[in-house]
Amino acid sequence: MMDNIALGLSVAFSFEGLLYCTLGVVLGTFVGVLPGLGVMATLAILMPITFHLPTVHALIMLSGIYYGAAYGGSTASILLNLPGTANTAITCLDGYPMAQQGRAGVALMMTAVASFVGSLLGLLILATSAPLLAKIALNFGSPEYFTLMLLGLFAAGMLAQGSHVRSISSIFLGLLLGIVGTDISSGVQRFTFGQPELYTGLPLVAISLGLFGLPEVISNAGRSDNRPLEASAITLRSMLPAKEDVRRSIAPMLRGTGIGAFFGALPGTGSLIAAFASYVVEKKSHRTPEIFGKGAIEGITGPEAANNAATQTAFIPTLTLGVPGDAIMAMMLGVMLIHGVTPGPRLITEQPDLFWGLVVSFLIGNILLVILNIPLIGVWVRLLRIPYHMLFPAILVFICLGVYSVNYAVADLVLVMFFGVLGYAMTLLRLEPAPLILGLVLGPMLEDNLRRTLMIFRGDLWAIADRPLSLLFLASTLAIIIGSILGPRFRTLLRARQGMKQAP
Amino acid sequence: MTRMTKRRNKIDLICGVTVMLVGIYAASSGFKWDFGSFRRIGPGAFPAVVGAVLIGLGLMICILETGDHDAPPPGINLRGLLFVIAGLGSFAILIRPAGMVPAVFACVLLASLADPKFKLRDALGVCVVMSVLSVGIFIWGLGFQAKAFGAY
Repeated sequence: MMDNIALGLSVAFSFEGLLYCTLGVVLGTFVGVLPGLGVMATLAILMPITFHLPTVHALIMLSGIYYGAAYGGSTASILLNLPGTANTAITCLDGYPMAQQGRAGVALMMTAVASFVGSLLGLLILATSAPLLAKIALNFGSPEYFTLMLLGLFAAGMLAQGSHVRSISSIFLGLLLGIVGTDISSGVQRFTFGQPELYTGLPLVAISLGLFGLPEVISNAGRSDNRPLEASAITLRSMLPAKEDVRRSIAPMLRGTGIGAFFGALPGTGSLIAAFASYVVEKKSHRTPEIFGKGAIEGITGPEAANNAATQTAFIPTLTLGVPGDAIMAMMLGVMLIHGVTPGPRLITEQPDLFWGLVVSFLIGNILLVILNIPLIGVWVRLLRIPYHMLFPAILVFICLGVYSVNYAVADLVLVMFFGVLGYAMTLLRLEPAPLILGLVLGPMLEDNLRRTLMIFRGDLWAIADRPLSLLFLASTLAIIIGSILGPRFRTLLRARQGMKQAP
Repeated sequence: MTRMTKRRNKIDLICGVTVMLVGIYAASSGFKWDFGSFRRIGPGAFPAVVGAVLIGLGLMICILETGDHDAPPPGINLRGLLFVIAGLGSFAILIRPAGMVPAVFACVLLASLADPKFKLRDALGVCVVMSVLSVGIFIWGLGFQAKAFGAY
């Protein structure tokens, strides 16, 4: 254990390690603070640059953006009642009322503290449980992986916000796009339309830039600037919480961390659900639930701890099983695959520098984030005054340069255009583009494992009965599907019955 | 039935039918390639299964999803879409024959027009800053294979 931490320290404390960690968390805070600029789009824009870096530095930077944004997102929620990232929407509920009562400073301080507590404990869970899980997963064969991936995909679709049928449709459209290219087992060209550029499959960079980058630019075109804010009002003195604030926050932070760590590690669920669950738990268990929505400190510290804990534990399934829990992790997995790293149970033992380097860099990143979010908060508050009409053309230029720098191929720019229009059309039809990435990245692995599974089973599907774990994953998948179809209907039925009883 | 719900239903129907059509296309392509056997599946099996599921999902959207949604249907920003795509396209056309600075200028100017409150002075400012940044970071810094001006 000590050797591993020493190894991690040597990677993370190298000059480049510190540089890319700082760069990642600063950029993450930037996109987190600004409403209208999302994590997916930013990761997509920076993906091409990471091809010029060693794998570990690339991942240190991209992860920094991811967990940095989780910190920064609460700033706009509190000050403007606009979530900086989708995951911090819950923080608006009690953060904005606090700001209206003149307690914005305290709210900013306490969310930063809660984020730090949640992240740190989440990181601890990551460092201790990942090696254990990897040991178990060493015995996994293709049937286990196939059913686990199926579980992950359906869980992501069924537990997501909004319509389940549409999320699943988006995932399956992604699976279909993942087929494009040369079939690895037979050499048949599938959906390539005779274009040599497509023989190796659709490039992840062009698709993510098209699906997430361009719609973001389009929706920011014509966006009105944020209301001007008095940055000088947030002084360090005004941020100092009262003893009462700290006392009331301790239990919610710890509960939030637990909830967040659980939902983060589960495939398909993530920070948003974790934050929401934590809010509901705090409100339901509170002696005076009326204070929620009117500036209750428990309503921001619980969900913020949950949000950040989930961001850390989301790395567990991705790094140990190679099965990403959500779309952002799918993009990380895609980057690892492009760099020639196959995440899975052997990653921790065969590339300990990568795993432990990441873990230690997360620790450094979280300490940097506290510095960025408490003493330097004024800088970020001023950033909210950025003129959007000048920001979005600049982002478009970065998208063009980034995608062109990968292969110097105009064809990639055309693909970005195509997928930009597709992504925009999908949002108009209410199909979320994010689950598509999950399908796209997992598709080839899913097909490969299905083929191997059938070979192992000699074509006999009942052979799955000899594989208890696989059977469990399959049963869970079915349970999720049935539960989410029947769940809402059952609830309305129950409500209707109660209504009948109460009626005179 | 109000006009609003009618429009919603239309979006849902278009969505469901599109998903179904994509599914039919995928499944029929799957049948074109070798299906293989259960023991050793060929290149056609997976696309056919994915296509079949998509057809089912499209049907479900058509039947189950019409009607009540919490959020209003998203509005279309046609001006934004057209000018942003035009900006990207101009970059794609100009980067090889004309070089990075003209490509960046065209891209920024066209994309800025996506904003209804377009201000030429601000847009030109962004052009200059982005040109300097792109040439500095990408050509000098990262050894990008393009010239600031002219073909390569």
